[in-house]
Amino acid sequence: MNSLSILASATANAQEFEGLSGALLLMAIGMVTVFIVLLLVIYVGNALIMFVNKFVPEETKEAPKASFASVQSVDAVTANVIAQAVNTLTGGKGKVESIKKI
Amino acid sequence: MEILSKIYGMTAIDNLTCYPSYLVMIALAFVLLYLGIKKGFEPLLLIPIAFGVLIANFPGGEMGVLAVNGVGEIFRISNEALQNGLGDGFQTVTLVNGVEASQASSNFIQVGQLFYDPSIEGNEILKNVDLVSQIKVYDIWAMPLHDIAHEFGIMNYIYYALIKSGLLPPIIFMGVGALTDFGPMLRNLKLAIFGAGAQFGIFAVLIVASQCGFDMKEAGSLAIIGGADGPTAIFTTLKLAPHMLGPIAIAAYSYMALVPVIIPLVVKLTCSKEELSINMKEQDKLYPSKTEFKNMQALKILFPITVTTIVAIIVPDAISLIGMLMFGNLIKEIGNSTSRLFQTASNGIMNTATIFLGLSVGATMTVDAFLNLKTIGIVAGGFCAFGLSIFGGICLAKIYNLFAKKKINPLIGATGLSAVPMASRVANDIALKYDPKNHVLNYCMSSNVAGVIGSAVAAGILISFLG
Repeated sequence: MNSLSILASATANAQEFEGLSGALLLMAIGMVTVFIVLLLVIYVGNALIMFVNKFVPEETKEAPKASFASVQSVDAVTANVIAQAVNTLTGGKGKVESIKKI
Repeated sequence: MEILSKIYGMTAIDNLTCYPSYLVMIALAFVLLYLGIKKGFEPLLLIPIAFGVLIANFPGGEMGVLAVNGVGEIFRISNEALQNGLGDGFQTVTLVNGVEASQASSNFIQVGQLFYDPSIEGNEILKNVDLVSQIKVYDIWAMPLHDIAHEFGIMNYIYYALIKSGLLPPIIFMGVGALTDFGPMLRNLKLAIFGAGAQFGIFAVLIVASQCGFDMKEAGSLAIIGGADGPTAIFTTLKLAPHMLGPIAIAAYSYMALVPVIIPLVVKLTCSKEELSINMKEQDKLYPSKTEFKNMQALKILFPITVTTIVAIIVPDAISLIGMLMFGNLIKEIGNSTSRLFQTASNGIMNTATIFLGLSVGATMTVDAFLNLKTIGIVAGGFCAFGLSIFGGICLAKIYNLFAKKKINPLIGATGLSAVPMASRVANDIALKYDPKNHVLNYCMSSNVAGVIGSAVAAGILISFLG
Protein backbone atom coordinates (compact mmCIF):
# COMPACT_ATOMS: atom_id res chain seq x y z
CA MET A 1 0.00 0.00 0.00
CA ASN A 2 1.49 3.35 -0.96
CA SER A 3 1.61 6.44 1.23
CA LEU A 4 -1.33 8.12 -0.50
CA SER A 5 -3.52 5.06 -0.03
CA ILE A 6 -2.54 4.91 3.63
CA LEU A 7 -3.39 8.59 3.99
CA ALA A 8 -6.62 7.99 2.11
CA SER A 9 -7.73 5.11 4.28
CA ALA A 10 -6.63 6.87 7.47
CA THR A 11 -8.45 10.07 6.59
CA ALA A 12 -11.42 8.15 5.28
CA ASN A 13 -11.67 6.34 8.58
CA ALA A 14 -11.44 9.59 10.48
CA GLN A 15 -13.83 11.70 8.47
CA GLU A 16 -15.23 9.40 5.80
CA PHE A 17 -15.32 12.43 3.51
CA GLU A 18 -18.92 13.14 4.28
CA GLY A 19 -20.52 16.54 4.16
CA LEU A 20 -19.17 19.89 3.16
CA SER A 21 -15.93 19.64 5.14
CA GLY A 22 -15.14 16.25 3.58
CA ALA A 23 -15.76 17.59 0.08
CA LEU A 24 -13.61 20.67 0.75
CA LEU A 25 -10.81 18.50 2.12
CA LEU A 26 -11.02 16.29 -0.95
CA MET A 27 -10.88 19.35 -3.19
CA ALA A 28 -7.75 20.58 -1.43
CA ILE A 29 -6.07 17.17 -1.63
CA GLY A 30 -7.13 16.65 -5.25
CA MET A 31 -6.05 20.02 -6.60
CA VAL A 32 -2.72 19.92 -4.74
CA THR A 33 -2.01 16.39 -6.02
CA VAL A 34 -2.85 17.32 -9.62
CA PHE A 35 -0.56 20.37 -9.38
CA ILE A 36 2.23 18.29 -7.84
CA VAL A 37 1.99 15.61 -10.53
CA LEU A 38 2.00 18.13 -13.38
CA LEU A 39 4.83 20.12 -11.78
CA LEU A 40 6.77 16.86 -11.52
CA VAL A 41 6.01 16.17 -15.19
CA ILE A 42 7.38 19.63 -16.05
CA TYR A 43 10.53 19.31 -13.95
CA VAL A 44 11.22 15.74 -14.92
CA GLY A 45 10.51 16.69 -18.54
CA ASN A 46 13.13 19.43 -18.31
CA ALA A 47 15.55 17.00 -16.71
CA LEU A 48 14.88 14.56 -19.55
CA ILE A 49 15.60 17.25 -22.11
CA MET A 50 18.94 17.98 -20.46
CA PHE A 51 19.72 14.26 -20.17
CA VAL A 52 18.92 13.61 -23.82
CA ASN A 53 20.85 16.67 -25.00
CA LYS A 54 23.90 15.54 -23.03
CA PHE A 55 23.90 11.76 -23.39
CA VAL A 56 21.80 10.92 -26.42
CA PRO A 57 22.77 13.45 -29.06
CA GLU A 58 20.87 12.99 -32.27
CA GLU A 59 22.35 10.67 -34.79
CA THR A 60 22.59 12.56 -38.02
CA LYS A 61 20.49 10.70 -40.48
CA GLU A 62 20.75 11.52 -44.09
CA ALA A 63 17.42 12.56 -45.42
CA PRO A 64 16.28 10.15 -48.12
CA LYS A 65 16.81 11.72 -51.42
CA ALA A 66 14.67 11.17 -54.44
CA SER A 67 16.48 8.34 -56.14
CA PHE A 68 14.38 8.06 -59.20
CA ALA A 69 14.96 9.21 -62.67
CA SER A 70 11.64 10.46 -63.87
CA VAL A 71 11.25 13.55 -61.76
CA GLN A 72 10.80 15.90 -64.63
CA SER A 73 7.14 16.43 -63.81
CA VAL A 74 7.92 18.05 -60.43
CA ASP A 75 10.72 20.19 -59.04
CA ALA A 76 13.46 18.73 -56.86
CA VAL A 77 12.07 20.13 -53.60
CA THR A 78 8.63 18.62 -54.18
CA ALA A 79 10.20 15.32 -55.17
CA ASN A 80 12.22 15.25 -51.95
CA VAL A 81 9.16 16.10 -49.85
CA ILE A 82 7.20 13.25 -51.47
CA ALA A 83 10.13 10.88 -50.95
CA GLN A 84 10.35 11.81 -47.27
CA ALA A 85 6.60 11.40 -46.82
CA VAL A 86 6.67 7.94 -48.41
CA ASN A 87 9.68 7.05 -46.28
CA THR A 88 7.87 8.07 -43.08
CA LEU A 89 4.60 6.37 -43.97
CA THR A 90 6.17 3.09 -45.04
CA GLY A 91 8.79 3.02 -42.30
CA GLY A 92 11.64 3.20 -44.80
CA LYS A 93 10.42 0.28 -46.87
CA GLY A 94 8.69 2.23 -49.58
CA LYS A 95 10.48 3.63 -52.60
CA VAL A 96 9.27 6.25 -55.03
CA GLU A 97 9.99 5.20 -58.57
CA SER A 98 8.13 7.83 -60.50
CA ILE A 99 5.90 10.85 -59.98
CA LYS A 100 3.18 11.69 -62.44
CA LYS A 101 0.80 14.60 -62.43
CA ILE A 102 -2.76 13.41 -62.92
CA MET B 1 -59.32 -8.00 -39.62
CA GLU B 2 -57.63 -10.08 -36.95
CA ILE B 3 -54.55 -10.26 -39.11
CA LEU B 4 -54.55 -6.49 -39.51
CA SER B 5 -54.89 -6.13 -35.75
CA LYS B 6 -51.94 -8.49 -35.23
CA ILE B 7 -49.89 -6.57 -37.75
CA TYR B 8 -50.75 -3.36 -35.93
CA GLY B 9 -49.83 -5.00 -32.63
CA MET B 10 -46.48 -6.01 -34.11
CA THR B 11 -45.55 -2.40 -34.80
CA ALA B 12 -44.36 0.13 -32.25
CA ILE B 13 -47.09 2.61 -33.23
CA ASP B 14 -49.43 1.76 -30.36
CA ASN B 15 -46.78 2.11 -27.66
CA LEU B 16 -45.41 5.27 -29.23
CA THR B 17 -48.83 6.93 -29.21
CA CYS B 18 -49.62 5.74 -25.66
CA TYR B 19 -46.28 6.89 -24.28
CA PRO B 20 -45.18 10.16 -25.91
CA SER B 21 -42.03 10.17 -23.74
CA TYR B 22 -40.55 7.78 -26.31
CA LEU B 23 -41.16 10.42 -28.95
CA VAL B 24 -39.26 12.95 -26.82
CA MET B 25 -36.23 10.67 -26.83
CA ILE B 26 -36.53 9.98 -30.56
CA ALA B 27 -36.72 13.73 -31.20
CA LEU B 28 -33.61 14.17 -29.04
CA ALA B 29 -31.84 11.55 -31.16
CA PHE B 30 -32.78 13.46 -34.32
CA VAL B 31 -31.38 16.68 -32.84
CA LEU B 32 -28.11 14.96 -31.92
CA LEU B 33 -27.89 13.42 -35.40
CA TYR B 34 -28.47 16.85 -36.92
CA LEU B 35 -25.70 18.33 -34.78
CA GLY B 36 -23.32 15.54 -35.74
CA ILE B 37 -24.09 15.33 -39.46
CA LYS B 38 -25.02 18.86 -40.46
CA LYS B 39 -23.17 20.96 -37.89
CA GLY B 40 -20.17 18.64 -37.73
CA PHE B 41 -19.98 18.57 -33.91
CA GLU B 42 -17.49 15.75 -33.38
CA PRO B 43 -19.30 13.40 -35.79
CA LEU B 44 -17.12 10.38 -35.00
CA LEU B 45 -18.48 10.46 -31.47
CA LEU B 46 -21.87 12.12 -31.68
CA ILE B 47 -23.28 10.12 -34.58
CA PRO B 48 -22.84 6.66 -32.96
CA ILE B 49 -24.24 8.07 -29.68
CA ALA B 50 -27.22 9.67 -31.42
CA PHE B 51 -27.96 6.53 -33.40
CA GLY B 52 -27.71 4.49 -30.20
CA VAL B 53 -30.32 6.81 -28.63
CA LEU B 54 -32.56 6.37 -31.67
CA ILE B 55 -32.54 2.57 -31.81
CA ALA B 56 -32.86 2.25 -28.02
CA ASN B 57 -36.14 4.12 -27.88
CA PHE B 58 -38.45 2.05 -30.04
CA PRO B 59 -40.70 -0.11 -27.85
CA GLY B 60 -40.27 -3.77 -28.66
CA GLY B 61 -36.85 -3.32 -30.21
CA GLU B 62 -34.96 -4.50 -27.10
CA MET B 63 -32.01 -2.32 -28.03
CA GLY B 64 -32.08 -0.12 -24.94
CA VAL B 65 -29.62 -0.76 -22.11
CA LEU B 66 -31.72 -1.58 -19.07
CA ALA B 67 -31.40 0.54 -15.97
CA VAL B 68 -30.29 -1.41 -12.89
CA ASN B 69 -30.50 -0.47 -9.24
CA GLY B 70 -27.54 0.14 -6.94
CA VAL B 71 -26.81 -3.56 -6.49
CA GLY B 72 -27.16 -4.44 -10.16
CA GLU B 73 -30.67 -5.92 -10.13
CA ILE B 74 -33.15 -5.83 -12.97
CA PHE B 75 -36.80 -6.70 -12.28
CA ARG B 76 -39.33 -8.06 -14.67
CA ILE B 77 -42.97 -8.52 -13.81
CA SER B 78 -45.15 -11.42 -14.88
CA ASN B 79 -48.17 -10.72 -17.04
CA GLU B 80 -50.36 -12.08 -14.23
CA ALA B 81 -48.92 -9.55 -11.80
CA LEU B 82 -49.41 -6.78 -14.29
CA GLN B 83 -53.04 -7.74 -14.83
CA ASN B 84 -53.86 -8.26 -11.15
CA GLY B 85 -51.84 -5.34 -9.85
CA LEU B 86 -48.87 -5.49 -7.53
CA GLY B 87 -50.65 -4.44 -4.37
CA ASP B 88 -50.19 -1.49 -2.08
CA GLY B 89 -47.00 0.45 -2.36
CA PHE B 90 -45.95 -0.77 -5.78
CA GLN B 91 -46.30 0.76 -9.15
CA THR B 92 -44.60 -0.19 -12.35
CA VAL B 93 -43.26 1.92 -15.16
CA THR B 94 -43.13 1.32 -18.86
CA LEU B 95 -40.40 -1.15 -19.65
CA VAL B 96 -37.92 -0.52 -22.39
CA ASN B 97 -39.13 -3.52 -24.32
CA GLY B 98 -42.63 -2.12 -24.45
CA VAL B 99 -44.46 -3.87 -21.60
CA GLU B 100 -47.39 -1.67 -20.72
CA ALA B 101 -47.75 -0.59 -17.14
CA SER B 102 -48.86 2.40 -15.16
CA GLN B 103 -46.63 5.41 -14.64
CA ALA B 104 -44.99 5.82 -11.26
CA SER B 105 -45.76 8.70 -8.99
CA SER B 106 -42.95 10.99 -7.92
CA ASN B 107 -42.81 9.89 -4.27
CA PHE B 108 -41.96 6.32 -5.21
CA ILE B 109 -38.40 5.06 -5.32
CA GLN B 110 -37.14 3.20 -8.36
CA VAL B 111 -35.84 -0.31 -7.96
CA GLY B 112 -34.85 -1.64 -11.33
CA GLN B 113 -37.97 -1.35 -13.42
CA LEU B 114 -40.27 -1.18 -10.40
CA PHE B 115 -41.20 1.69 -8.20
CA TYR B 116 -41.98 1.08 -4.56
CA ASP B 117 -43.16 3.16 -1.68
CA PRO B 118 -40.61 2.79 1.14
CA SER B 119 -43.07 4.07 3.75
CA ILE B 120 -45.03 0.80 3.59
CA GLU B 121 -43.69 -1.85 5.95
CA GLY B 122 -42.11 -4.80 4.21
CA ASN B 123 -41.18 -2.90 1.08
CA GLU B 124 -37.63 -2.13 2.20
CA ILE B 125 -36.42 -5.43 0.89
CA LEU B 126 -38.22 -6.19 -2.30
CA LYS B 127 -37.32 -9.86 -2.35
CA ASN B 128 -39.12 -10.49 0.94
CA VAL B 129 -42.57 -9.59 -0.30
CA ASP B 130 -45.05 -12.15 -1.54
CA LEU B 131 -44.78 -10.91 -5.07
CA VAL B 132 -41.49 -12.68 -5.56
CA SER B 133 -43.13 -15.42 -7.61
CA GLN B 134 -44.51 -12.87 -10.00
CA ILE B 135 -41.43 -10.72 -10.19
CA LYS B 136 -38.35 -12.12 -11.81
CA VAL B 137 -35.19 -10.66 -10.36
CA TYR B 138 -32.02 -10.71 -12.45
CA ASP B 139 -28.68 -10.10 -10.78
CA ILE B 140 -26.85 -8.58 -13.70
CA TRP B 141 -23.41 -9.08 -12.15
CA ALA B 142 -23.97 -12.79 -11.65
CA MET B 143 -25.38 -13.45 -15.12
CA PRO B 144 -23.22 -15.03 -17.81
CA LEU B 145 -22.87 -12.79 -20.84
CA HIS B 146 -24.77 -15.16 -23.14
CA ASP B 147 -27.71 -15.00 -20.72
CA ILE B 148 -27.61 -11.21 -20.83
CA ALA B 149 -27.68 -11.37 -24.63
CA HIS B 150 -30.56 -13.87 -24.56
CA GLU B 151 -32.69 -12.11 -21.94
CA PHE B 152 -32.04 -8.45 -22.64
CA GLY B 153 -30.82 -8.24 -26.23
CA ILE B 154 -27.54 -7.71 -27.98
CA MET B 155 -27.05 -4.08 -26.92
CA ASN B 156 -27.04 -5.06 -23.24
CA TYR B 157 -24.50 -7.75 -24.10
CA ILE B 158 -22.21 -5.18 -25.72
CA TYR B 159 -22.72 -2.75 -22.84
CA TYR B 160 -21.98 -5.22 -20.06
CA ALA B 161 -19.17 -7.03 -21.87
CA LEU B 162 -17.26 -3.97 -23.02
CA ILE B 163 -18.23 -1.01 -20.87
CA LYS B 164 -19.44 -2.23 -17.50
CA SER B 165 -16.54 -4.66 -17.41
CA GLY B 166 -14.27 -1.60 -17.61
CA LEU B 167 -12.56 -2.88 -20.77
CA LEU B 168 -13.20 -0.06 -23.22
CA PRO B 169 -12.00 3.02 -21.28
CA PRO B 170 -8.34 1.88 -21.02
CA ILE B 171 -8.48 0.54 -24.59
CA ILE B 172 -9.67 3.92 -25.84
CA PHE B 173 -6.95 5.61 -23.81
CA MET B 174 -4.42 3.44 -25.63
CA GLY B 175 -5.83 4.65 -28.95
CA VAL B 176 -5.83 8.26 -27.75
CA GLY B 177 -2.19 7.83 -26.71
CA ALA B 178 -1.32 6.45 -30.13
CA LEU B 179 -2.92 9.50 -31.73
CA THR B 180 -1.31 12.01 -29.37
CA ASP B 181 1.88 13.88 -30.09
CA PHE B 182 3.66 15.00 -26.93
CA GLY B 183 6.01 17.14 -29.06
CA PRO B 184 4.07 20.41 -28.58
CA MET B 185 3.87 19.75 -24.85
CA LEU B 186 7.62 19.07 -24.59
CA ARG B 187 8.35 22.25 -26.53
CA ASN B 188 6.13 24.28 -24.18
CA LEU B 189 6.47 22.32 -20.97
CA LYS B 190 5.58 25.22 -18.68
CA LEU B 191 2.13 25.47 -20.23
CA ALA B 192 1.36 21.96 -18.95
CA ILE B 193 0.54 23.45 -15.55
CA PHE B 194 -2.70 24.85 -16.98
CA GLY B 195 -3.88 21.26 -17.23
CA ALA B 196 -4.09 21.37 -13.44
CA GLY B 197 -6.10 24.59 -13.22
CA ALA B 198 -8.75 23.12 -15.47
CA GLN B 199 -9.49 20.32 -12.99
CA PHE B 200 -11.10 22.91 -10.71
CA GLY B 201 -14.57 22.14 -12.08
CA ILE B 202 -14.30 18.51 -10.94
CA PHE B 203 -13.78 19.37 -7.30
CA ALA B 204 -16.08 22.41 -7.27
CA VAL B 205 -18.99 20.31 -8.53
CA LEU B 206 -18.06 17.57 -6.06
CA ILE B 207 -18.73 20.05 -3.27
CA VAL B 208 -22.01 21.28 -4.77
CA ALA B 209 -23.28 17.80 -5.64
CA SER B 210 -22.51 16.48 -2.17
CA GLN B 211 -24.83 19.20 -0.81
CA CYS B 212 -27.60 18.47 -3.32
CA GLY B 213 -28.68 14.99 -2.32
CA PHE B 214 -25.95 12.93 -3.98
CA ASP B 215 -23.81 10.79 -1.68
CA MET B 216 -20.06 11.31 -1.94
CA LYS B 217 -19.49 8.44 -4.37
CA GLU B 218 -22.26 9.67 -6.64
CA ALA B 219 -21.00 13.25 -6.32
CA GLY B 220 -17.49 12.09 -7.30
CA SER B 221 -18.84 10.29 -10.37
CA LEU B 222 -20.87 13.32 -11.39
CA ALA B 223 -17.97 15.69 -10.82
CA ILE B 224 -15.54 13.75 -13.01
CA ILE B 225 -17.58 14.85 -16.04
CA GLY B 226 -15.66 18.11 -15.55
CA GLY B 227 -12.51 16.27 -16.63
CA ALA B 228 -13.97 16.35 -20.16
CA ASP B 229 -12.74 12.86 -20.75
CA GLY B 230 -15.33 10.21 -21.58
CA PRO B 231 -13.21 7.13 -20.79
CA THR B 232 -12.08 8.66 -17.49
CA ALA B 233 -15.68 9.46 -16.54
CA ILE B 234 -16.80 5.91 -17.32
CA PHE B 235 -13.86 4.36 -15.49
CA THR B 236 -14.41 6.47 -12.37
CA THR B 237 -18.17 5.90 -12.32
CA LEU B 238 -17.67 2.15 -12.63
CA LYS B 239 -15.54 2.27 -9.50
CA LEU B 240 -17.68 4.68 -7.48
CA ALA B 241 -21.32 4.58 -8.57
CA PRO B 242 -21.94 2.02 -11.33
CA HIS B 243 -25.71 2.54 -11.19
CA MET B 244 -25.18 6.07 -12.52
CA LEU B 245 -23.05 5.00 -15.46
CA GLY B 246 -25.68 5.55 -18.16
CA PRO B 247 -26.52 9.20 -17.52
CA ILE B 248 -22.92 10.09 -16.65
CA ALA B 249 -21.53 8.52 -19.82
CA ILE B 250 -24.18 10.30 -21.85
CA ALA B 251 -23.48 13.65 -20.18
CA ALA B 252 -19.68 13.26 -20.50
CA TYR B 253 -19.76 12.30 -24.16
CA SER B 254 -22.46 14.78 -25.11
CA TYR B 255 -20.51 17.65 -23.58
CA MET B 256 -17.29 16.43 -25.21
CA ALA B 257 -19.10 16.52 -28.53
CA LEU B 258 -20.41 19.97 -27.68
CA VAL B 259 -16.97 21.41 -26.85
CA PRO B 260 -17.25 23.65 -29.97
CA VAL B 261 -20.25 25.28 -28.29
CA ILE B 262 -19.26 25.27 -24.61
CA ILE B 263 -15.68 26.63 -24.84
CA PRO B 264 -16.66 29.69 -26.95
CA LEU B 265 -19.53 30.35 -24.53
CA VAL B 266 -17.34 30.33 -21.40
CA VAL B 267 -14.55 32.23 -23.16
CA LYS B 268 -16.99 34.91 -24.29
CA LEU B 269 -18.27 35.33 -20.75
CA THR B 270 -14.88 35.49 -19.07
CA CYS B 271 -12.25 36.89 -21.45
CA SER B 272 -11.71 40.33 -22.95
CA LYS B 273 -10.79 41.04 -26.57
CA GLU B 274 -7.30 42.19 -25.49
CA GLU B 275 -6.66 38.93 -23.65
CA LEU B 276 -7.81 36.81 -26.57
CA SER B 277 -5.60 38.83 -28.93
CA ILE B 278 -2.38 37.92 -27.08
CA ASN B 279 -0.21 36.58 -29.88
CA MET B 280 1.85 33.66 -28.61
CA LYS B 281 4.43 33.73 -31.42
CA GLU B 282 5.12 37.42 -30.77
CA GLN B 283 5.51 36.62 -27.09
CA ASP B 284 7.99 33.90 -28.07
CA LYS B 285 9.96 36.41 -30.12
CA LEU B 286 10.00 38.89 -27.23
CA TYR B 287 10.95 36.25 -24.67
CA PRO B 288 12.61 33.39 -26.56
CA SER B 289 12.97 30.00 -24.91
CA LYS B 290 16.50 28.94 -23.97
CA THR B 291 15.73 25.25 -24.24
CA GLU B 292 17.19 23.46 -27.24
CA PHE B 293 16.18 20.02 -28.45
CA LYS B 294 18.98 17.89 -29.85
CA ASN B 295 17.11 14.63 -30.12
CA MET B 296 13.35 14.99 -30.01
CA GLN B 297 12.72 11.36 -30.97
CA ALA B 298 14.65 10.00 -27.99
CA LEU B 299 12.86 12.50 -25.77
CA LYS B 300 9.47 11.39 -27.04
CA ILE B 301 10.34 7.76 -26.31
CA LEU B 302 11.61 8.45 -22.80
CA PHE B 303 8.73 10.78 -21.88
CA PRO B 304 5.83 8.26 -21.75
CA ILE B 305 7.96 5.80 -19.81
CA THR B 306 8.90 8.49 -17.29
CA VAL B 307 5.38 9.89 -16.87
CA THR B 308 3.98 6.39 -16.37
CA THR B 309 6.53 5.77 -13.64
CA ILE B 310 5.79 9.08 -11.87
CA VAL B 311 2.01 8.62 -11.95
CA ALA B 312 2.29 4.97 -10.91
CA ILE B 313 4.25 6.00 -7.84
CA ILE B 314 2.05 8.93 -6.81
CA VAL B 315 -1.47 7.87 -7.85
CA PRO B 316 -1.52 4.13 -8.64
CA ASP B 317 -5.30 4.20 -9.13
CA ALA B 318 -4.79 6.30 -12.25
CA ILE B 319 -2.34 3.89 -13.83
CA SER B 320 -4.84 1.83 -15.81
CA LEU B 321 -5.71 4.97 -17.75
CA ILE B 322 -2.36 6.78 -17.83
CA GLY B 323 -0.47 3.53 -18.38
CA MET B 324 -2.51 2.64 -21.44
CA LEU B 325 -2.34 6.22 -22.73
CA MET B 326 1.44 6.20 -22.47
CA PHE B 327 1.73 2.69 -23.90
CA GLY B 328 -0.21 3.81 -26.96
CA ASN B 329 2.07 6.81 -27.29
CA LEU B 330 5.22 4.75 -26.79
CA ILE B 331 4.44 2.34 -29.64
CA LYS B 332 3.82 5.36 -31.84
CA GLU B 333 7.10 7.05 -30.97
CA ILE B 334 9.33 3.99 -31.19
CA GLY B 335 8.74 3.99 -34.91
CA ASN B 336 9.34 1.22 -37.41
CA SER B 337 9.78 -1.69 -35.04
CA THR B 338 6.34 -1.20 -33.47
CA SER B 339 4.58 0.46 -36.38
CA ARG B 340 2.20 -2.50 -36.79
CA LEU B 341 1.10 -2.19 -33.17
CA PHE B 342 0.70 1.55 -33.60
CA GLN B 343 -1.41 1.12 -36.73
CA THR B 344 -3.67 -1.39 -34.99
CA ALA B 345 -4.05 0.69 -31.81
CA SER B 346 -4.72 3.96 -33.59
CA ASN B 347 -6.98 2.63 -36.35
CA GLY B 348 -8.53 -0.81 -35.94
CA ILE B 349 -8.87 -0.98 -32.17
CA MET B 350 -9.65 2.71 -31.67
CA ASN B 351 -12.34 2.80 -34.35
CA THR B 352 -13.93 -0.45 -33.19
CA ALA B 353 -13.94 0.75 -29.59
CA THR B 354 -15.45 4.10 -30.58
CA ILE B 355 -18.29 2.44 -32.51
CA PHE B 356 -19.23 0.07 -29.69
CA LEU B 357 -18.82 2.72 -27.02
CA GLY B 358 -20.83 5.33 -28.90
CA LEU B 359 -23.71 3.01 -29.75
CA SER B 360 -24.00 1.40 -26.34
CA VAL B 361 -23.61 4.69 -24.43
CA GLY B 362 -26.36 6.12 -26.64
CA ALA B 363 -28.48 3.07 -25.91
CA THR B 364 -28.34 3.82 -22.18
CA MET B 365 -30.35 6.96 -22.90
CA THR B 366 -33.76 5.36 -22.61
CA VAL B 367 -37.01 6.87 -21.37
CA ASP B 368 -36.65 5.12 -18.00
CA ALA B 369 -33.07 6.16 -17.45
CA PHE B 370 -33.13 9.65 -18.86
CA LEU B 371 -36.45 11.30 -18.16
CA ASN B 372 -36.16 11.54 -14.39
CA LEU B 373 -35.01 14.21 -11.97
CA LYS B 374 -31.76 12.55 -10.94
CA THR B 375 -30.57 12.20 -14.53
CA ILE B 376 -31.53 15.78 -15.27
CA GLY B 377 -29.52 16.75 -12.14
CA ILE B 378 -26.55 14.79 -13.49
CA VAL B 379 -26.79 16.46 -16.89
CA ALA B 380 -27.05 19.92 -15.31
CA GLY B 381 -24.26 19.18 -12.81
CA GLY B 382 -22.07 17.82 -15.59
CA PHE B 383 -22.53 21.00 -17.58
CA CYS B 384 -21.51 23.07 -14.53
CA ALA B 385 -18.46 20.85 -13.99
CA PHE B 386 -17.49 21.26 -17.64
CA GLY B 387 -17.96 25.01 -17.63
CA LEU B 388 -16.17 25.46 -14.30
CA SER B 389 -13.19 23.44 -15.53
CA ILE B 390 -12.81 25.75 -18.52
CA PHE B 391 -13.25 28.73 -16.18
CA GLY B 392 -10.62 27.32 -13.78
CA GLY B 393 -8.06 27.04 -16.58
CA ILE B 394 -8.82 30.57 -17.80
CA CYS B 395 -8.50 31.96 -14.25
CA LEU B 396 -5.11 30.29 -13.79
CA ALA B 397 -3.91 31.85 -17.06
CA LYS B 398 -5.15 35.26 -15.93
CA ILE B 399 -3.43 34.93 -12.55
CA TYR B 400 -0.23 33.86 -14.33
CA ASN B 401 -0.45 36.95 -16.56
CA LEU B 402 -0.59 39.20 -13.50
CA PHE B 403 2.91 38.13 -12.48
CA ALA B 404 4.67 37.03 -15.67
CA LYS B 405 6.35 39.18 -18.30
CA LYS B 406 5.62 36.68 -21.03
CA LYS B 407 1.84 36.80 -21.34
CA ILE B 408 -0.28 33.74 -22.01
CA ASN B 409 -3.42 33.75 -24.11
CA PRO B 410 -6.21 32.60 -21.72
CA LEU B 411 -7.40 30.17 -24.39
CA ILE B 412 -4.41 28.05 -23.40
CA GLY B 413 -5.87 27.86 -19.91
CA ALA B 414 -9.28 26.95 -21.32
CA THR B 415 -7.80 23.96 -23.12
CA GLY B 416 -6.43 22.55 -19.87
CA LEU B 417 -9.65 20.62 -20.08
CA SER B 418 -9.07 17.25 -21.79
CA ALA B 419 -11.08 16.58 -24.99
CA VAL B 420 -7.92 16.22 -27.10
CA PRO B 421 -7.51 17.61 -29.73
CA MET B 422 -10.95 19.11 -30.19
CA ALA B 423 -10.56 21.69 -27.43
CA SER B 424 -7.29 22.92 -28.99
CA ARG B 425 -8.84 23.16 -32.43
CA VAL B 426 -11.75 25.18 -31.07
CA ALA B 427 -9.40 27.46 -29.12
CA ASN B 428 -7.27 27.98 -32.24
CA ASP B 429 -10.37 28.97 -34.22
CA ILE B 430 -11.34 31.49 -31.54
CA ALA B 431 -7.82 32.98 -31.49
CA LEU B 432 -7.81 33.32 -35.29
CA LYS B 433 -11.06 35.29 -35.13
CA TYR B 434 -9.36 37.95 -33.03
CA ASP B 435 -6.01 37.87 -34.82
CA PRO B 436 -5.73 35.99 -38.15
CA LYS B 437 -2.00 35.45 -37.53
CA ASN B 438 -2.37 34.08 -34.01
CA HIS B 439 -2.06 30.29 -34.38
CA VAL B 440 -2.24 28.95 -30.82
CA LEU B 441 -2.85 25.27 -31.66
CA ASN B 442 0.60 24.03 -30.62
CA TYR B 443 0.51 25.97 -27.36
CA CYS B 444 -3.01 24.79 -26.57
CA MET B 445 -2.00 21.18 -27.24
CA SER B 446 0.47 21.43 -24.38
CA SER B 447 -2.16 22.26 -21.76
CA ASN B 448 -4.69 20.03 -23.53
CA VAL B 449 -2.50 16.92 -23.28
CA ALA B 450 -1.57 17.85 -19.72
CA GLY B 451 -5.31 18.03 -19.05
CA VAL B 452 -5.64 14.36 -19.98
CA ILE B 453 -2.97 13.50 -17.42
CA GLY B 454 -4.54 15.88 -14.89
CA SER B 455 -8.06 14.47 -15.22
CA ALA B 456 -6.77 10.91 -14.94
CA VAL B 457 -4.89 11.87 -11.78
CA ALA B 458 -8.03 13.58 -10.40
CA ALA B 459 -9.97 10.40 -11.17
CA GLY B 460 -7.32 8.39 -9.34
CA ILE B 461 -7.69 10.68 -6.31
CA LEU B 462 -11.47 10.29 -6.27
CA ILE B 463 -11.20 6.51 -6.57
CA SER B 464 -8.50 6.37 -3.85
CA PHE B 465 -10.46 8.41 -1.34
CA LEU B 466 -14.04 7.53 -2.12
CA GLY B 467 -13.85 4.06 -3.69
